[in-house]
Amino acid sequence: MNMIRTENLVHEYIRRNEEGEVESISQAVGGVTLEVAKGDFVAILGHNGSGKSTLAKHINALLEPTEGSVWVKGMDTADETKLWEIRQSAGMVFQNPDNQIIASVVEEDVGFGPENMGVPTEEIWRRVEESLKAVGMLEYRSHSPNRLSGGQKQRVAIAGIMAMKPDCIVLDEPTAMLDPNGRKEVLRTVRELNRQEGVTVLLITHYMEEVIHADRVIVMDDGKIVMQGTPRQIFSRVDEIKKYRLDVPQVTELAYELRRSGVNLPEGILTVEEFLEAIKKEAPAYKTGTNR
Amino acid sequence: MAIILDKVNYSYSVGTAYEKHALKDVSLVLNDGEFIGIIGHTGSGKSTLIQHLNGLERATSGTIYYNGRDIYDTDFKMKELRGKVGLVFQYPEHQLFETTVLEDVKFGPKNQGLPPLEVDLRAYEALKQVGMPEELYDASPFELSGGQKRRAAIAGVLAMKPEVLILDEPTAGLDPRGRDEILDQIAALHKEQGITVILVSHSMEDVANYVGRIIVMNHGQVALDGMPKEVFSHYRELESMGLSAPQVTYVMNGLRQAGYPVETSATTVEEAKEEILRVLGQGRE
Repeated sequence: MNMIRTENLVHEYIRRNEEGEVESISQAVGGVTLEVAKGDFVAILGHNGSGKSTLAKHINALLEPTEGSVWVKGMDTADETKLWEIRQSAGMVFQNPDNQIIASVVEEDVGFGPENMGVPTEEIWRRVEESLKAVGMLEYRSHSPNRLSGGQKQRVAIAGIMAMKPDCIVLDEPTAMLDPNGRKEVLRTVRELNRQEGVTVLLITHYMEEVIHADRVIVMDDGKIVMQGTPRQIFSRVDEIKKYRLDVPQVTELAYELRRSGVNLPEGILTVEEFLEAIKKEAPAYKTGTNR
Repeated sequence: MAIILDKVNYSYSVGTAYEKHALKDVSLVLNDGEFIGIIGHTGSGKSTLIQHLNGLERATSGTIYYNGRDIYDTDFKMKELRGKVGLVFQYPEHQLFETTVLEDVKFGPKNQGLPPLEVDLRAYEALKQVGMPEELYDASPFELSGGQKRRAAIAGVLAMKPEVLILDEPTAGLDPRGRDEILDQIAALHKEQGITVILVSHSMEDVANYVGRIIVMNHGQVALDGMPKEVFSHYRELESMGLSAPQVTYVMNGLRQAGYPVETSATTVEEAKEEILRVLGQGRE
């Protein structure tokens, strides 16, 4: 069974004036059909205003479709009786860690979710410990969250979601406000949760380097899915990516530029290691001039 | 003329458990017309440093000179300094508050006590400088896109005609194209107006593509200071500070280690491409 399925999802933001009359309608999502299998790691790229955050909010039923449908674990998000179950199945992590932490002690913050769900106290503590361990923050359990770094706060926010035992986590630009170290910490945590705990991950980001480990990349533009494929397939199409106001990793761009200048490198190189291997194959070092 | 920092120290929460020595003996000369990048991980002191440059924070000890004058002198006008050293904070769009974009940009020069005509002229000029489409001048700032909001906020600082423009992560949260547009605009300002630009950034690639000099902050001290090529050649050291070099620096060093006679100093895709083609070309002749 699919973890997430959307069929022809349309979302319109309707602005009304003071009298309640419709002033303007803007379509943020325009007919998205999407399937995400259990255990998948799917990354969504798209420029500001492309509709990716609106799509994400549909997955834990923060928004209701204007047209079309969304199912999480087979539950229709328009079905109000399933609301709690859906939100428990699909946890959401937002951009700003400071807006998501509410308690004055880390472990209480992580316990907030399961407590709200009515989980028995002993089970809560077990889950808090497990979740903090999974994100590598166990030693900070009795710290105050406001003294943590951005990356640490974001990991606590993820632990808070994990404690609710979701099948799926939706992360909406979780690293946008973090420094390079914080970004690495959060990304590593997300990948581990996906691989070791089998959590389905939907990651929305602007950082191209963060999507190269995803199983599948989806590119959105103007509320629609315009590209879809493995990271390698997507990043092989450098011109198309740039057309959608996006970018490719620097090493991918370098390989692309060299190819255009006649160096025979494969398409869609994603890492420095791949680049070095490809160069060694194409032009072994002993063949280059000045070494001797 | 320049900004000179002489052994600047700054500590906060002195005498409490949270006491922190945020700047330690920082001495720097920031010359007129430079385009400088400041990098460092969270808590390295880079934000504290830039807040000293326009007098928002006061050094615990040490001196700062602006165009030869000690800014801590009793007769030095701090308000004038703040007009000359413009600071654009992180997420500056959160500080937009007026009813229209134009009114928001006018707020700074109005506060400087300039005559209304001058205020208008400056606001129009600043909005043009940041590339704001004219039809948005009378829009509410809250109707703008993320990138446009940021431009409006930068225009608000430019309208005060600063000699030095400091931007704290001006591209955070923007998509790649939005990021390039803002940085291109800032580079143009630097080139055409001769304005000194100081850019605080987490993106090594952005810094490498735009600035002429990089200052690396670590534990409240200046750890490295030089041209991008020089600074990024210390990529191992940067890693130990929680930073990194642009990806192409790793490519060039990897090639060198694999026996290719490349110069490793490239910090942009263009430079790396030229250098690799040069070396591969030699092998083919």
